[in-house]
Amino acid sequence: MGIQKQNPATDKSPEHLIVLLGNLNVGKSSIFERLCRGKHGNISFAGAPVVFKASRITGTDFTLMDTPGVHSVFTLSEDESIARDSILNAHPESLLFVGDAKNLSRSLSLLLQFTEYDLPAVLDLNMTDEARQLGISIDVSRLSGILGIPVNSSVAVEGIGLRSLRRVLPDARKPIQGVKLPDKIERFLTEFRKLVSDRDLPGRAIGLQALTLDPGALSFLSKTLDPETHRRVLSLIETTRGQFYHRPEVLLHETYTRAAQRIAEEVQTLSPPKHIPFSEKLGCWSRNLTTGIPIAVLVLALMYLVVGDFGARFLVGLMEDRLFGQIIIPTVASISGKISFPLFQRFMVGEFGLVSVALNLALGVVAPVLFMFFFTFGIIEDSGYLARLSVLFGRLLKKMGLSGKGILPIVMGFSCVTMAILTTRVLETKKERIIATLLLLLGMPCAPLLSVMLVVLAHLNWKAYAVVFGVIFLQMFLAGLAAERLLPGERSTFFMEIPPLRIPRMRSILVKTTQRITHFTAEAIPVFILATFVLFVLNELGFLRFLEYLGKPFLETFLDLPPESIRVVLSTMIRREAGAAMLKELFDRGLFSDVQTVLLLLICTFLVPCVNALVVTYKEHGFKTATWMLLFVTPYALVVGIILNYLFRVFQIRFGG
Amino acid sequence: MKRELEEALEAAWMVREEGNPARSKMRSICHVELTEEILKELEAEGYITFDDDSVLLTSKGQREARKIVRRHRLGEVLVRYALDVNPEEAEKIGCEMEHFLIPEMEESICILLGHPTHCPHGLPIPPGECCRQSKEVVDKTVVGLLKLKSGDKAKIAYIKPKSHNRLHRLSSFGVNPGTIIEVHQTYPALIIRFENTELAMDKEIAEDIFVWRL
Repeated sequence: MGIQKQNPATDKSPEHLIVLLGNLNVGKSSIFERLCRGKHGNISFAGAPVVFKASRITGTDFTLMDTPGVHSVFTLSEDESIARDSILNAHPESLLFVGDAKNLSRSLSLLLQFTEYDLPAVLDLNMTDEARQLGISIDVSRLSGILGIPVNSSVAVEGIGLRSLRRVLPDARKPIQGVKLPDKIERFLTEFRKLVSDRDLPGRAIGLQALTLDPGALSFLSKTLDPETHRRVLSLIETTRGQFYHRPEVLLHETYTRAAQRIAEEVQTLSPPKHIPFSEKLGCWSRNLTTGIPIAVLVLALMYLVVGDFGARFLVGLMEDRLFGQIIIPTVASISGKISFPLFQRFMVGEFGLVSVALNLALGVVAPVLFMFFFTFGIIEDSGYLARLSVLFGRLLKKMGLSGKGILPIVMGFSCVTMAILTTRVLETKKERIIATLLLLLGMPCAPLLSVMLVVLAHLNWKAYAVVFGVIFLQMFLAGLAAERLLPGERSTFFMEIPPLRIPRMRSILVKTTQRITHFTAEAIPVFILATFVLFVLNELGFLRFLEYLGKPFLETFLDLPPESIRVVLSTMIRREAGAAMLKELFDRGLFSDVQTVLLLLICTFLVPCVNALVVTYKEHGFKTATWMLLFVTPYALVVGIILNYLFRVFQIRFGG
Repeated sequence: MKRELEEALEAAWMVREEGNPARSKMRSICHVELTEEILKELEAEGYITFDDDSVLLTSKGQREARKIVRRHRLGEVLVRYALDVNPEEAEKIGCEMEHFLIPEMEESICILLGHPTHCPHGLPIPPGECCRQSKEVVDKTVVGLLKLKSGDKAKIAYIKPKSHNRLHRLSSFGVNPGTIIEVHQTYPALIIRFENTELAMDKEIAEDIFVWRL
């Protein structure tokens, strides 16, 4: 089993590996961050594309590996099986199971399923503060006695109960086999164990998973068993499954749920508080129509104030005008003017200069707005508000062929279209995945593009905002409607868990924002430099002029755009926001009128996805579908541009601020 | 417990009800042949003792016999009155039911029938734990989840297995028969809550879920 340790810090003792497991939203990440203070490394397994975060637990020689949240060991979802199969691959020494103290029976049900792996375990009941607020108290020592493993309680976000958790980790014990499964399943397990008796397999879990026809378990068996045994195991599975009316997996879930409920009843006392906590009331208000829509509008308005006003006006003014405009660029210009010839000066601070354009746009314009955007987005994400948006807009999205879950990729699209296309995986049907990707490609402005748009729009009047965002969302909606009707395939259904509304933790949001912004700068700056450099070379060689000459008739006749638009489009193709940033540059110099700016902004948004998004689209959807989408998107952008230009002219719409 | 033993205990309970616990009386009403071995075995297990010709139930025997009789008579009420089976068949089926009803089924049937006190023959049904707590389901019929209004509480009765994947997904979240839920909101999406988990689902999924109102 190839365990590739990438970080020397986690290299020393892979045999002391602990896997961190639990439901979604139980605070696994907080626990991971709190337990492992040092630098985080990664673990990956041969043959699996996923990389797990792993790190030394401070003050011990244990390595902790984080996994994505799961609902069940017997899962259908690819994402969830990743966490589970990591146990098969990693051969951990023990499991650290994180449960939600206010959803005890649900957490225990999952824990009981994981006990089938027959590995030493520790249970940490997290978020006991929230449970206490809801009037839930849990007899931890009794629970520990019933389960036969150490049980710790914590409030990880506050750092409470982590020292004791660190202390009990070495005491991890194999749980008492508690759950008696239905007879048919127990008989199957006995038969199964007889067949594979000479193999070192992880407890009953692998047998149960094989019975549920889990692809991960089946492929594991086909790799480890000789052909004859494998064949007999498969036929045993087939005959056993034949004896069930429902699928055995449903029966399994029921059995574990019941067993968990019994334990929960025994160890927890409920005394519901007289007053419903405010956060819960707010949670309810934010997801029904009458109060939810005003709240959504308020949230968007706040977001605009923070990102659009503070970020795009104030911070950009500070960075671009003051820092770059008044200090850096003049300094670089005078130095490079003194030490070298004019070509070098043009290379540094000219029309397509390294400092004046590439660095200035990336660091002076894009980065500050992006920082504010990721910051507010992090708050919305962390507070659990996103799921409530799904509920609110579920019906609207359904008309566009998306289930309520579809809002996740769409909202993610505001952050990064490439990432959003990757998250379309959470959608259930192929049709839904195609529609979501198409809508994202069709003009979802990603955060970097959005930030430049906001900077440009700040110079125009309110009508510009209305037209740009109105057109973007209207055409997305229409395209969705059309795709829903035209594409073959089943409608998908909406089903999701709504996490509780929480006050987001500033610390973790700042950490996440910093990570995202660092990631962005590392990836975008080279591209900005490259794009500017390509344009610089093309310009120096006179090629740009030639392209502009070629494009001029089309641009002037149909779009009323100046030939310089070509540069914007070229940069857009390299990176979307680079194009828009270029546009801002040209607008500032007075080369573009207000109407032309709005028009080109929209065309840039629609025209081409950035290189990354394109690569991801091909990867996720295959050559045929991706090419088909691309062939649709490009002419579409030009046609929309032509129609808009016509409308602006006819109705004499101006955007001058 | 063996079938013959259950039948013998039932007979012992019935003769006690009539106030004539004679061995001969017991033999005549028992559904199986009441052999000496059966009586010996019951005595050895501590269910009965003998007093001359009378057969007396010990307290352990009373507890067990009471459960058997209760299952028998509840079964009769169910098939006779609720399912409208003819009396002769109902009697036979009731006889069978005493052997296989498990406690959960017994309680559910009792609640379903509104804690009946007498069987179709007019004999008293020994009250169970559920009767003493006078557990009651207000609306004794199963309804679709979509029929509920926000604020209603319900217990999931069954989930129509229209699509196995969907059933699997619901069950992996803990939405199983027996789970008690509360409806929080019905529009724009249905939101149910159990324990402290909130789940949102659309109409297509909710219409497959059937519940008892609480």
